[in-house]
Amino acid sequence: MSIRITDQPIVVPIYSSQEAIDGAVVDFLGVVRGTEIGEAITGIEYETFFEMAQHQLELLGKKYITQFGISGLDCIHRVGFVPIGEASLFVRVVAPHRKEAFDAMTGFIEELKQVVPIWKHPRIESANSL
Amino acid sequence: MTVTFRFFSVSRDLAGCSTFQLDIGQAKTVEDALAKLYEEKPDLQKLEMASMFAVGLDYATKAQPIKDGDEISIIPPVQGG
Repeated sequence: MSIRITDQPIVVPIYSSQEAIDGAVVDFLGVVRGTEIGEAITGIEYETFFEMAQHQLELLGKKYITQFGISGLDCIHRVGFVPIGEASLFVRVVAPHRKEAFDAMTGFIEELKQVVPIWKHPRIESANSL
Repeated sequence: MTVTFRFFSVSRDLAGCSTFQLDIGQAKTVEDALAKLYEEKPDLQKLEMASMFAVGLDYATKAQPIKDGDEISIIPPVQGG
């Protein structure tokens, strides 16, 4: 398991098999959209309580590895300013079969959005052009 | 007994600062400490229902006991991802 919070652009790691039993690798990239609540934005400033976010992501990752039949989970969350079109979140789930991998991916991201102390501050385009 | 409160996002805006050290007397729980905090920073009470609370790096209920030197964070609704 690898959990990382960074202020640098996310580079998707190359996958190399760790276990002979794994048949499914699901990657997810969350990307900043060009609008937020109907307004054009230039990007999103992600604020974090860094130490707690790292800790909570590690707890969540361990929970999914021990309880959801997956063999690996990697997560990178970008913080600071993320321009539109760039990824703020990367998650990779590795499992013996695709159902466990997709289910774990969905569940992990849903829970991440409820417990990991990160906050979004969209930068409105019109505010920048003044 | 002294604790340090930490604020983020909208809780920081309402508190007007990122951290705030407070002598909370004989307060025993997170809830007792929050009551002392609201005396100093009443605007934060607006967030009470929507917020979660943490002691150190772990989420805490309002009934959780606290000790001298603890860091108590006011965590407004999170928005990661």
